Amino acid sequence: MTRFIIQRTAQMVVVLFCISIFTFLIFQVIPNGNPALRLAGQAATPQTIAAIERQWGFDKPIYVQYLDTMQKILTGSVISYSQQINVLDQIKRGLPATISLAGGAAVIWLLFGMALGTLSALRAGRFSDRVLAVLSLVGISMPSFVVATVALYLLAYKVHVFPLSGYVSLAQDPWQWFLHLVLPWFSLSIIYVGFYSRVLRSNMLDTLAEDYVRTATAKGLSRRRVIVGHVLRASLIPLMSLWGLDFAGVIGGGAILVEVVFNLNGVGQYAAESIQTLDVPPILVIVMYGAFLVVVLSAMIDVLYVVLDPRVRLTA
Amino acid sequence: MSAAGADRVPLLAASGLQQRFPVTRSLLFGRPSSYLTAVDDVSLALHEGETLGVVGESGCGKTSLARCLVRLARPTGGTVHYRGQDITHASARQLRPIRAEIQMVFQDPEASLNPRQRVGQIVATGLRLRGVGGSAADREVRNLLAQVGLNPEHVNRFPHEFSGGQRQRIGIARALAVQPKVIVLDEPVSALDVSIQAQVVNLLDDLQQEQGLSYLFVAHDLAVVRHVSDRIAVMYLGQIVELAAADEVYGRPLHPYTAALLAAIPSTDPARRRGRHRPAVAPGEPGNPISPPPGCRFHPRCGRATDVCRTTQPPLVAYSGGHLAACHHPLGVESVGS
Amino acid sequence: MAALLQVTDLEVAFRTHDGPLRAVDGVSFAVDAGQIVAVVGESGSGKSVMAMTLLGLTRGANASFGGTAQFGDVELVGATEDELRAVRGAQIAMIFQNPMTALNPVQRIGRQIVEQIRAHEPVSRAAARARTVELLDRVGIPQAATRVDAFPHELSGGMRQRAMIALALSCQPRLLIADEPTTALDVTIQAQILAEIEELRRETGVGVVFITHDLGIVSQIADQVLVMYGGRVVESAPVDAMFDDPQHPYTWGLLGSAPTAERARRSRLPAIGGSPPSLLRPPAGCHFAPRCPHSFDPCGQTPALRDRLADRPGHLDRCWLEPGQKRRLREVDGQIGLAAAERAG
Repeated sequence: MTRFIIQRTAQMVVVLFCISIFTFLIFQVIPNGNPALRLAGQAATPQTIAAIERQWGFDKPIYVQYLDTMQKILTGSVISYSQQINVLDQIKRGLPATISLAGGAAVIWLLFGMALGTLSALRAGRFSDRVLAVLSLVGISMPSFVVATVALYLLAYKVHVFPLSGYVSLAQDPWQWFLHLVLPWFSLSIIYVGFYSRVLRSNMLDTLAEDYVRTATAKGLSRRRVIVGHVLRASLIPLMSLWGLDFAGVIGGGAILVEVVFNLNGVGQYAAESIQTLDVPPILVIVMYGAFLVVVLSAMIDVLYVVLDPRVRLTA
Repeated sequence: MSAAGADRVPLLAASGLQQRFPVTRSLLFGRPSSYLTAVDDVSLALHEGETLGVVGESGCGKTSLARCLVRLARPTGGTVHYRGQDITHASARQLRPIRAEIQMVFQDPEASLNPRQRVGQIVATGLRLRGVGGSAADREVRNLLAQVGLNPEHVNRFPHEFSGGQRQRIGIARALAVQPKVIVLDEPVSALDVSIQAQVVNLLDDLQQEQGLSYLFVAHDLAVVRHVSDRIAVMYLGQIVELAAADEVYGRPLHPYTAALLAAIPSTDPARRRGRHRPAVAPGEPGNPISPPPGCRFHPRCGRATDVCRTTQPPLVAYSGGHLAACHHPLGVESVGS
Repeated sequence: MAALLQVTDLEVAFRTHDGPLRAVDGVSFAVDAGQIVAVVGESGSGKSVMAMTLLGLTRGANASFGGTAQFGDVELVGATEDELRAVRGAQIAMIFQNPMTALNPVQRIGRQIVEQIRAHEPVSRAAARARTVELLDRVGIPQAATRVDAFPHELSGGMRQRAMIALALSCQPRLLIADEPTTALDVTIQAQILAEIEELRRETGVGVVFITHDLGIVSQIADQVLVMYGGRVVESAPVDAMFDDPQHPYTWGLLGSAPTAERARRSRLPAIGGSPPSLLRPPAGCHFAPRCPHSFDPCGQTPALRDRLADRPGHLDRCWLEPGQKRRLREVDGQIGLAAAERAG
């Protein structure tokens, strides 16, 4: 176990290093990428620009700039170009909204995905299975921002069932927190529900054909116990790794569109704003933070795998 | 047909062959913590025109041995010679001319034939190695199919359109296409039904008579191996425990493991059936090739084992008639003088 | 005394894209308590489908059934799922071919056995577990008290099959269906498992339906033998009669195909030419006729399965040949076998 943790940590350092370099370089080669021009404002003289470049260190060689930025990130003192405020503070401010969004949505898409996937596996080939197949295809192919916009228009603007937008913290008012999140949760979940139900359906059909499922039936177990005790559990194991990574993606600021449409002021929305202004430090931090989450969660999934499937052993 | 060619250079020979696989290895750092020794110090020779059978139960290393001999795998120790030439560490380029002379037929005809290729293409691959192309190749493919008992009109069919036995015939036709001298057959009939097995065994026999082929016949079914082989090597946990002429191995087994194997074959022989006699079965199970038992590897299952068996590995010793066995207390040999 | 299991005219057909597939075509036989009935056949003979049908394991939207299988007061073919569930595992237990895949890989051995016991009997978890340890010990698994918590992959193939047998025994079934239980095992381990099954039969009086393709196993373990070909029983006889005086040419072919110590080494095996019939479009009349060197005009009609030997009423076969001719026809190189077909192909 210790060895596993050491190896995964080493892997993580390598991953973060590569990702940070890659992200950093993209913004060096992107057209109109010079942050000094934007910092200096519209009618800046070349002298002002040069002064800013000197002040922010943009005149130094790229690797020095990179190292400077990384040092600031790791010490927590990195400042954004556009608003010139601490990036880490800004991310921390967005986290409650993002975590609330990701947590609720992940539960919803897992439960609905499981229910619909199981239903269509057990009804495979019949009418209800075909209907579910079409519905999940619609869910998968509908962009979340379209769903979000339509839901917002119908359920918040036309009929005032839910509030229009914004985020209310859980501590402040749990009921309002919930109301504000219902639409974002479902808008974000639909695509995953469609996807998960298809994956689970095909996993279950594979498992149903396994010899040990036949053994379970031959033991005289009820259909329900065969399905729940032997089929579903085996079929859920591969779904777990998918779930962990998707969850990490949303917490890492991946639900950009939904956060923006509902104005949740989460990490994703912060990323969106930073990209609009080509603000490298927040982008860099958010990308690294997202990668960090993915690596950590995938390690946790590997551990979970060992618990769920005794044939698997921990290797890096 | 006899093994009289002991003084001649054998066609294919292994000497002290060893094949080890690392069992666990980590990704970033760390070296293999343990090894599985699939083949451990195996020496044998295949002579021209003969069939050498290799029998043993699963995990005894017979398939690894076969793969080393045709150099599909690189052995970790010992040498492989083909016609006196050392091919142990030959490169792919050096092996190319030899590949045309040594072919392999696999157990699972389903998995070893490309499902997207037509039978004609599969068989023609070997012809290209010989530089046969165009209409000559077409003629040759039809010839080969006829030789292995398939309808030559079926050149344009895909493997899945054939039955298991017919697919194994395709595998044999593919091997024959390069006009090999040696064919290494790895469980060639064990995936087939009994009646089809007999057809394929007969076919292999015909081909050997007609073309003077040499076979290394690897299988777990002793009855089949006895039927086709001139000499037989019995393997247990990576080592040869007995090697002799087929009738010797069956009629006068020296190693207790060979005797247990023979006794365990369910027989339709009326005499054995009448008594419903329960064979003296070897108790327990083969050990683990990662950490084989010390001394004689068979001793934990052997009724004749004594202290020496638990500590000292018995060497492969020649008894009368060139009958080799690795046992401290061989059956039917009273004085153990060595 | 009524038989433990009486199967009469069992039929199983599956609807496929290419038309109906008649996997089992009118099979009848009986099993008594303490008797081992072997069903021999090659792949596609319908032997496994027949066995699984007895437990309702082939039921599905595309399957249709005919005939009856009377087991005590339950008729298995027409039984409801609830009736079958009460029988499965408790009164009829099944052992499958591949112990690698027949046990749930993510559950401990003991748990899988306890699950079956508690599905049929109102016993506590602890009591079921104690019984499981006893069972594992009974079938020869060393250190049963610790192995009960092992996962299947932690056991060898032979040990897994023993665990499978322990599972099958856990509710003291009256009938055991073993579907190629030793095919995936090494020959020394196979001998151990066969000995185990025979001992069980002797001690508990369980009736056994033993499905196999290996005539050697049949000759060692069976009391009664059914030979299946193309979904039908072509011969049915007590084991000694089957081997000493086989009546159906397919049986001759099977016996001849297997290399034995008695047959001269490197002699030609009297193989059966051709390949088994398609069950989608089986030949009219006798299913074996197209591969049979002895076929003649009447073979276009299906012969009934009946006794044709005056002195042996229990020996049934499906062949039009005169019993008197058979002794001569089945002799190949001094042994039983199928002569090479005269016509090519």
